[in-house]
Amino acid sequence: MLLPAPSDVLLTLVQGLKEGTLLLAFFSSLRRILVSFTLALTLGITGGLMLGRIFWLDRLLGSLIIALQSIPSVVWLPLALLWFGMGEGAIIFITSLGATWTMIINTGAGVKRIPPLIIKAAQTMGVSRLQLFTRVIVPASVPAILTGMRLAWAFAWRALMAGELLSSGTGLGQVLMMGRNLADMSQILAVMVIIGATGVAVDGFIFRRLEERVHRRWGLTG
Amino acid sequence: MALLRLQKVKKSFFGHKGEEIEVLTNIDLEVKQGEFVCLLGPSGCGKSTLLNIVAGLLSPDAGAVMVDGQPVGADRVGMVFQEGGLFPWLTVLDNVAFGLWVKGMGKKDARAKAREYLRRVHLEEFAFIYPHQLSGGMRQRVAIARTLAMDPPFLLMDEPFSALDTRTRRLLQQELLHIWQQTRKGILFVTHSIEEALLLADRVVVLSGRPARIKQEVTLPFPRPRDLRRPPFVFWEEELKSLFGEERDGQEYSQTFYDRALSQTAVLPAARPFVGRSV
Ligand SMILES: Nc1ncnc2c1ncn2[C@@H]1O[C@H](COP(=O)(O)OP(=O)(O)OP(=O)(O)O)[C@@H](O)[C@H]1O
Ligand SMILES: [Mg+2]
Repeated sequence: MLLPAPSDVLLTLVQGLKEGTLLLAFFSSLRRILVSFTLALTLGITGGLMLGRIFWLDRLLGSLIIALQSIPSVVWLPLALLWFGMGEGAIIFITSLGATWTMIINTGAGVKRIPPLIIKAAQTMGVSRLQLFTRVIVPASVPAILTGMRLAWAFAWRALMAGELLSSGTGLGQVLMMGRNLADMSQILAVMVIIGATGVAVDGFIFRRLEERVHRRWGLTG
Repeated sequence: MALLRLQKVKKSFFGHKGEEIEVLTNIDLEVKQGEFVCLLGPSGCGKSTLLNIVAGLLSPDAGAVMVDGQPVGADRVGMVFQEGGLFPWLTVLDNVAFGLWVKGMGKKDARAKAREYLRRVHLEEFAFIYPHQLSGGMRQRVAIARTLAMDPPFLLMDEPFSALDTRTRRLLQQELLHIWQQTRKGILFVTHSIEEALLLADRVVVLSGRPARIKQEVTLPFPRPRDLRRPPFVFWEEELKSLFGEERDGQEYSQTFYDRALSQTAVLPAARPFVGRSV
């Protein structure tokens, strides 16, 4: 048998949610990704703003970051396991990592795309360096930051699942591995459904909506 | 005392191959309180560069720029750009209030004042929409309102109306003149259009091609609104056109220039139409 019947999968899904095992796994993964995503946003936006504004820093690190971004995050896992041990630390590390590079690159590109005219206009109105940053550079980069967040979310979610598959704990990835060990295909598929649905739901209900709202306000869409 | 005084201002840029491109040479220029000066010159000659220097966005390589007897500072000079340069993330009202916040005014006061300036450019009912929802002419009016709200004694305008259709441009020119007559600010206004210069200016300053130097200054002490079909303007339009078109020998040129100008002036009662200065 290659695949279980859809009804079996549905049954396992409902049961798992009712009993709480799947729900528990879901919340465990959710907690991890929220921590990692917050970390990645903080580091990534800060880094991107700096890279976008500080020319020599961009020259120094720009291409390195693009190179790092092209490494799948899960490749860092062996190293992370050595650094942090078989625990939360390693998973959060690799989940944050993939999202961070993407955030830096997108934010930085957004900052560099700010029309010079906007900056000049602000300067003729007497903004201080700090005000230029907080009241012009940051808000002007918002569309790029949002696009970065969508991508970063996708990267982080993938990295998290890969990390959980390969390490211990109670997340969705680990339940997936458990299903394999028990040869329980309907459990595996039920978890896959949750993983897919979460990815789509977060993208569609949160990021896409935010992005659309900002684009409408700025007149970036038709 | 002159509100704006430029003395021997020079500016060069570096080209692709590191070669020096001289853009401004020895610019001497004064604008008095309440004076409307138009700057005419061929494309690429350095008009925007000159304005950016006065605004403090660029520093000159040599020479002095004084506004109100002090070195340039953003609190004394306001600038309106060709394409507006509004902030797309702020409403029209907040765009106008922005400069006031920056200066430390409270949110509420700033918005109240911004409203007043939006009223002056007849855009009050558009206060709560975003810049992209406005037409080009309306955006330009917002840009003007935002600069006026800061109440700088000196205004720089870099081809503010050149992207607009003729009708809108006419309307905005009238509005600007009206506001200027109320506030008596000094204005330095860059334009490509001889017609626009003749309609607006107390004095027209003509720049040469790059490197820019002041080629001619023409004073136009005529009342507004002006009818450009009337003799003095027809005459000056022709003169400025020919001045634009060709580089003639300065000495010879200025002689005929003076003669023809004087013969024209005689027809006009009590009007001394120019101070010619060939550089
Ligand atoms: N940052 C810069 N680096 C190098 N060259 C520059 C720079 N800014 C302007 N230039 C050059 O200086 C010259 C004058 O430019 P400027 O924008 O002042 O011209 P302009 O008179 O305003 O032209 P236009 O009427 O087309 O607006 C141009 O030849 C331009 O290529
Ligand atoms: Mg220009």
